[in-house]
Amino acid sequence: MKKIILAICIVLTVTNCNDDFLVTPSLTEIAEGNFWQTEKDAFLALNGVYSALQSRSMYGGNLNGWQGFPGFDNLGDNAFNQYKWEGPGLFMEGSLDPSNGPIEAIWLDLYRGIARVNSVIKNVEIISEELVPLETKKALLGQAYFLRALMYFNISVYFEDAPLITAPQTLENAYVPKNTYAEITAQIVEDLKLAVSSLPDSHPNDLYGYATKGAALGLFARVQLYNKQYDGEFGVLNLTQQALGLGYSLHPNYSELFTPENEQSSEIVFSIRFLRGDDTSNGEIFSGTFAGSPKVDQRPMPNLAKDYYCIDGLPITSSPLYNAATERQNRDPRATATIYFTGDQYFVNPDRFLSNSPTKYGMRKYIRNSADAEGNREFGEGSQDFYIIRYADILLMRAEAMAETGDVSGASSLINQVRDRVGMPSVQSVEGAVNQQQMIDIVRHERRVELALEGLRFMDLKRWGTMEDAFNRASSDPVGPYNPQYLGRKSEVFPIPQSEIDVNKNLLQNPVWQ
Amino acid sequence: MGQLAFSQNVVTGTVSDSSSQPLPGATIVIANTKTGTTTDFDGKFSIEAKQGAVLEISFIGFEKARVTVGASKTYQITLNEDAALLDEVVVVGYGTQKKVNLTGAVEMVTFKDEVNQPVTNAGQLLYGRFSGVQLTQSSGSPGADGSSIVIRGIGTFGGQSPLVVIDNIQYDDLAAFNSLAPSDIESITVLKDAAALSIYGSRAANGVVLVTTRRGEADKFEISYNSYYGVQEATVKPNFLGSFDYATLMNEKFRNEDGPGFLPRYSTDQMEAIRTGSLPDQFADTDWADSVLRQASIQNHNLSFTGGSEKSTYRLSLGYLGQDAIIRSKFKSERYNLSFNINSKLKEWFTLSSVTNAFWKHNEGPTGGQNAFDGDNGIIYSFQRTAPTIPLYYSNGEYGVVDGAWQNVNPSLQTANALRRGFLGNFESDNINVSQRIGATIKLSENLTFETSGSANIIYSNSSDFSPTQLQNSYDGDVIIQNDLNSLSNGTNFEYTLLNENILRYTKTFNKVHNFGVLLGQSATYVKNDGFSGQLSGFPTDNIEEFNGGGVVDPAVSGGAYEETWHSFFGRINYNYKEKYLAEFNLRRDGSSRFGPDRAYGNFPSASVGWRISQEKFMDKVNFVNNLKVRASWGITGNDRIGRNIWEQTYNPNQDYVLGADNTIVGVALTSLANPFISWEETEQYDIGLDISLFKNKVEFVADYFNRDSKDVLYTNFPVPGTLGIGNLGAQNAASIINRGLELGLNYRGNLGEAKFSVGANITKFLLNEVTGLGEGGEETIRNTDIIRIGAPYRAYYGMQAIGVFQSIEEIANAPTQFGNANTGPGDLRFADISGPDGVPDGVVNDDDRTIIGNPNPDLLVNFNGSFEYKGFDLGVLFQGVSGVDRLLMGNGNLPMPDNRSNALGYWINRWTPESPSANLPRVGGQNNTRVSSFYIQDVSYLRLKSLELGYSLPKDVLNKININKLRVFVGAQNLFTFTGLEFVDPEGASGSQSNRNAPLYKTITLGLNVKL
Repeated sequence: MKKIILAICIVLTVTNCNDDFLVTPSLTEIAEGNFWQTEKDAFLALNGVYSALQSRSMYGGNLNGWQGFPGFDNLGDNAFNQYKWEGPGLFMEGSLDPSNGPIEAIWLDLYRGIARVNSVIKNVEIISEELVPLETKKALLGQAYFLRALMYFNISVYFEDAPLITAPQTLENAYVPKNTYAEITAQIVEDLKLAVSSLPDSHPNDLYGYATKGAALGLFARVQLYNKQYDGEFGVLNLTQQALGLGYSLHPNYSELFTPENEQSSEIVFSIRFLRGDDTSNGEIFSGTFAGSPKVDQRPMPNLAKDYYCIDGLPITSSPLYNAATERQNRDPRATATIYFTGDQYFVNPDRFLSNSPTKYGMRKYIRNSADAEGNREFGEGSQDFYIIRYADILLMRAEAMAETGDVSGASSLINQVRDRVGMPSVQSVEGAVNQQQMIDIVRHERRVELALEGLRFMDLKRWGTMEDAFNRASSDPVGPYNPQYLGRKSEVFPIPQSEIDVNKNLLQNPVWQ
Repeated sequence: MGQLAFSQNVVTGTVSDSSSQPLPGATIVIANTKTGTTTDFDGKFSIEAKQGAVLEISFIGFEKARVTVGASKTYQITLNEDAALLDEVVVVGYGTQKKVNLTGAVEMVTFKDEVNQPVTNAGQLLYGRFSGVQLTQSSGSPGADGSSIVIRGIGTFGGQSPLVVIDNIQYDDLAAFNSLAPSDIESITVLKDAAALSIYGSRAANGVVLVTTRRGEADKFEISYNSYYGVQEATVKPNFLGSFDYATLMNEKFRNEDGPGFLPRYSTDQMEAIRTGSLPDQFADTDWADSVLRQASIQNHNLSFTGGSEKSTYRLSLGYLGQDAIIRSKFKSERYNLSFNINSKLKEWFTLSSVTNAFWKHNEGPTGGQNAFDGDNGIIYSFQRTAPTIPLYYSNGEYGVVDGAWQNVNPSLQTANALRRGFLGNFESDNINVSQRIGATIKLSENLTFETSGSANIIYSNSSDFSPTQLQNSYDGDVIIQNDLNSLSNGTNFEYTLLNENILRYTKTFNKVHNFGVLLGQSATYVKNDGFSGQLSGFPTDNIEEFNGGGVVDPAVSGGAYEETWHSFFGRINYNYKEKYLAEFNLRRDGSSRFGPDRAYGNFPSASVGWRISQEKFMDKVNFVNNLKVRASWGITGNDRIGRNIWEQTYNPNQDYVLGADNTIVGVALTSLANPFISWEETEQYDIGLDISLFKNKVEFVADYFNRDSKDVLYTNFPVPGTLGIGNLGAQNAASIINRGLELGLNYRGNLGEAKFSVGANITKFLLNEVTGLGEGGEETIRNTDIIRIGAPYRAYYGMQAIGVFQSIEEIANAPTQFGNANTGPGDLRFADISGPDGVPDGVVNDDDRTIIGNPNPDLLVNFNGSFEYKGFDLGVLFQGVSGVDRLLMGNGNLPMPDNRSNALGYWINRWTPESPSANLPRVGGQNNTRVSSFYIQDVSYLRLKSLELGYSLPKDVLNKININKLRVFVGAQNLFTFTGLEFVDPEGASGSQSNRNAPLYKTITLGLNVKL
């Protein structure tokens, strides 16, 4: 009998497992204590920041859903957001409110990226130099500063005053108030100074996509242009001057530039990289379309289509080459590269653009015109990189700074470079001798036709102070049902998402939106 | 022998019970013959019997008596009450208990004969039988038609399924239960109160369903064959608008939305073609629902062998179930079952047992499998999404995919063609599940036994889904659907659970009045799950559907794995004094790896008492009362289904990026915040019960009042500033929810002449079901159609209160503005101004005016069952119903043309128009009419004839000649009639607003056969 009881005790003891039996760590994620141990971890975390930029509400875009910057030419006069609920359409009509989902999504995605980059900066700064050599630290930090500046610049343009967070937070210290636009801009400038001084001119081929010195200079120039800082060591003129020496050049064929084949062209200074694939989350949809009608949620506006000159360099109102019945003929090649006109070869089937768009125009730039070579459908994920900064933009930013500072001939030679790429005649041969204000207008027009539908129009209009004109152009266009209304400052800045105001009592709504 | 000895004498007699009450309707049969009679109202009988013949006297509820006819011609026969009834034993957690001594709320159904009802899953056997058990079937897809089971109301925000224990192995989900062959089930017990549940501790808060499979009996060697063949069809076939009505309403929608200058979808000429049917290729009149829904077959076969001796018994059973879909398609579901049970007493002190339950489920069908039917891209939703103007086939034999308006300025949209969809591509899935338990029982002494067992449950599943290239043309040859890329998705998952359990049992009676039972147990469980799936596209032909078949595009793999462990101690003490005063205590201490190392363990106690008043002296004279017991219980149970590794802060390595020439690189980021304090949910439950048996146990009455208070319920809506960069605080044990209700059950068993019958009814009345807390900082969770709000039922429907249809411009002008929309017009729904930013009506109707518009949970569950046996005939009926329950129905034809393609259910022909302004239905198109509102709430109370079965067993004397013990044929029906206020959808369905996009429920008519050799 006792033997039996003993046997029971043994059984009980054997299965009476020790404490480890009840600890089953995750088999698919990295335990906190095992991270930030090596140089590789630092790069993994940096990649996590880049990855955040791919989200739909940042640069990944969408076809019929909330999207970020690739759809932002819907703000202003370049395009009509037919699916108004995506955000820009409602904003233009003045019926967007602070609880609007897409605006919240952009805010959350931006701060998600900022939290990641702050974690990289802090952890790289404190990690031992035995684990990560100083040189590597510098390269890592340069990219991190660049990425943080990119995200805060978007915040400063679209939200203006907003929390400025530069270190990892805990939940306890997450209830922060707004900082001013000026404070955010100062931080951006600081970050970009560090980025410019830390980043290399280029990376090895297999790391193409990481930010370079050119990217930092280009973004810095954009920030300074936006803030009208043309002169000085960190003025647009000096920054673009440095960028000119980095070996970038214009891609010979404008229309082919916006295809995956040319996304590593020497014109591309910095892009968000995308690659479709079922096993990654790296695909984009901003270039997606339905077969029946191009890019239904971003329709080029008539006033944009009409703003392209004829090939003689004259506006359609004065060029003898213009024929309203065949409006696509004899136009600046960038018009037909950017926009589908009625009857254009559009899709394999139907093979003509039927003008079945409320604006009668279809978006062409970036937009796919068939399933891909492998047969992946045109409305699914794609592999098109989104160009944040390209060389033409740097030339035009420099031209604008020169025009604004009175260097008319300097500006015109840069404009000529941009025009020459598409075979458009020079300033001298069409406009002739121009004064400073005329040069400014030429630069602004050139910017519009060169960079249309690349998500830059809103910040251009905002810094030029011409937003109201743009709203008027949009509302005058025969597009319906669409009723843009200029409501002053409310038409130039987004509200802070209501959910953020609700949860964080220290965060006050932008007075414009109160 | 003299002639006298063999002469037929008329023998008379009286049959009475032990208290000399006559028993009318008792059966008297002469043994080994078919001669028999029954007693009259006074318990008297007369029968011709030879001297020496044996009379067998039987009556329900009493032990059978045998009397040998002697010289006497009259017999006074007294039947003793069937001790088995009083000794009826109920399966409870880790053991059995005499029913009369139960102190907890436990309901058991025992299946006397092998179940041969046309049910496709064991869960269906619960319908109509148990109180407090709410069953909801949300899809009629073959192989995936299990019902959700909620016991005593929703007590958690997570999964509400009870723990299922089949032959002592625990299952967190219903898959194993639903795949068990019903004919292998001996009994099902539902444990409902804390006294019955707490022995299962941290996994028992949702209730427990205990299933025991059949085993062999000593000296009973039998071969059984049970089968049925049946035809199924949808319980309800939705009726959508025909072509001309559809086209009329579609044009009207454009007019209502775009004003007088509207561009119609269909031109005047096209309308005429639709009306006359003159261009059938371009404008047909297709009833998609009618063309797609069909009758489908179902068949079931089960063969079992049982046998054994006093020392060893066995049962082997093989089963097959095959079911086609009622949706026209090549989908088919098949299931093979094996059950093998051995018990052997090798030594007086040593018994060995082995139980095997295994199934293999095989589904095959078109691309997507069941997803080809259900959901947003399924065939059922295509009833709404496909214009009736599109023909099933064009005259050239190709599938219809567009109508003649597809290139209009307001184009009509293509369809995937439901008929084609049902046969397109290939889907195959296999699910193999083997549960094996080996146990040994060692008798250590007269009063003490030790049981040890090892169990393994192994689940292997594999699925393969192939989508072919496609090319579909319009009636005149335009390419409409083109997909040049075929693709294969193939996944495998492997899971096993190992369980070791050790139990000591001690029973002892002291001084003949103090009855003690003690149980002590310990168990350890280990679960490992590992799976992956791969995708590949671009195969050279559609005939090659395997990975090595040359596909080159987009190879991709994904997968996951986890481990889980439990370590538990449990014990029970029960005591009774003369089976009069009853008491029981249970305690389980559970350790679970789902919680952080410091919080792994928790305790789950319960206590219960009972008083059998009927055993008291003063009740001796009240002899129509056989049992009268009051009982009360209290206890705590837990729910550990809170997800895994919430306690552990981890970095998410799925943040990929692209560098170089399209190289994918890995990125890592913090994407969620861990909660190191995560713990189980706790439900504290009180139960007060009353059990009464009257009139020789013919009448049984059970009543229970319960109060379930669940706290520390896992909740996730704790907003944090988005600027933190991590969207949401991790799950917290914060919310609470209460359920209170009353269960009443009444059964009557009796005789009418030679007929035996029993009838039963039970009702469950929920007195309270509401969320009582969301924790500090916890916010209401509003989804599209429902809300989690304190004081409301869990996920109550939430939306606008519709108070009619605007009839005039003046009415609109005088009403609060509706969502600031200047285009609101006559014919639009009018919503009530209930609130505003400051909580009071503000003259503006907007999202602030949303309110609770319906309760998704029933107030009342009702079940009726009856059985009737007469001569060889038997009849069984089960009714099941719910009452006081709402559904928000917006999923399939209920919305008035919400987009530019959708059809609407037939009643929309009566929509509001200026010519015939409806007071009930809004106009099509218009403003705000498709918002979630009370307009779409329907009362879905129903009473259903769940099961009806009429059988006939051939007489024994006929069967004896051909050596058959039993031969029964039957016709059966499931879901034959439903009494409901709903016209276009079955009232039983999941609570989501789009549940009518799922494969419809079906009714089944079957023919069946039971044979025993």
